[in-house]
Amino acid sequence: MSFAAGMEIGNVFVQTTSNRGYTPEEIAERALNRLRRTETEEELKQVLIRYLQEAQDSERMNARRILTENGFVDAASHLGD
Amino acid sequence: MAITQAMATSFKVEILDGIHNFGTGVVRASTAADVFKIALYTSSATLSAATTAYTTSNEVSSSGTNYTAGGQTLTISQVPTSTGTTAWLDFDDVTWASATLTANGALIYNATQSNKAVAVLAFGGDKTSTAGNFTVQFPAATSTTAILRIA
Repeated sequence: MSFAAGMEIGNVFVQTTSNRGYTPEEIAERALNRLRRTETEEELKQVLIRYLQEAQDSERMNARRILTENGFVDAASHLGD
Repeated sequence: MAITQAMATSFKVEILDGIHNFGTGVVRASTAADVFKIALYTSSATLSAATTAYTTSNEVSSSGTNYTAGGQTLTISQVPTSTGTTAWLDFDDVTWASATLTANGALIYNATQSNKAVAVLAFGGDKTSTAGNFTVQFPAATSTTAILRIA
């Protein structure tokens, strides 16, 4: 008598942008992937924090790009990586 | 009363926790979780189930890409757990910001254990970011979809 057991690997989703950060719609798409599986209020809170933080980072990236393109490289550097 | 042949679900979780050792020569000096990393590769790379360790061959260039050789450290967002009879774990998404790169796949590897390979990820085609974000989102953290599962 035998039984089946095995290791399995899930599929990842890759999202990219060019010359900008993520749009709210793009971030929402990935947040939704995570929100679908949250079971507790704390998990929900953590997912929201993570993706809201990412939205802030993306906006900062956009601001950095605009400043750089207009010659304000030093100012852009103050916005961090 | 009944006896049902099965692999213990707790054992599956404990495998992911590194509790059991059927081999020899494995020395664990720390009780902390190992450091797992993800590296990106171009379509020229040869990665498969036969891959045993991280390699720099055809890894995405670290020149002018904002990509660092070796990739990024993964954050374990869900330590090994089980649902039903399936053990699984989850990683946080990982993003390369301000990146100019093209990748066709990735390798998850154990940086603590001599960069030994864990899993090869195929993106299904070239994915490109230009002075933008490159994000790898891991699948839903459930017993049927999570990135690493023992069913």
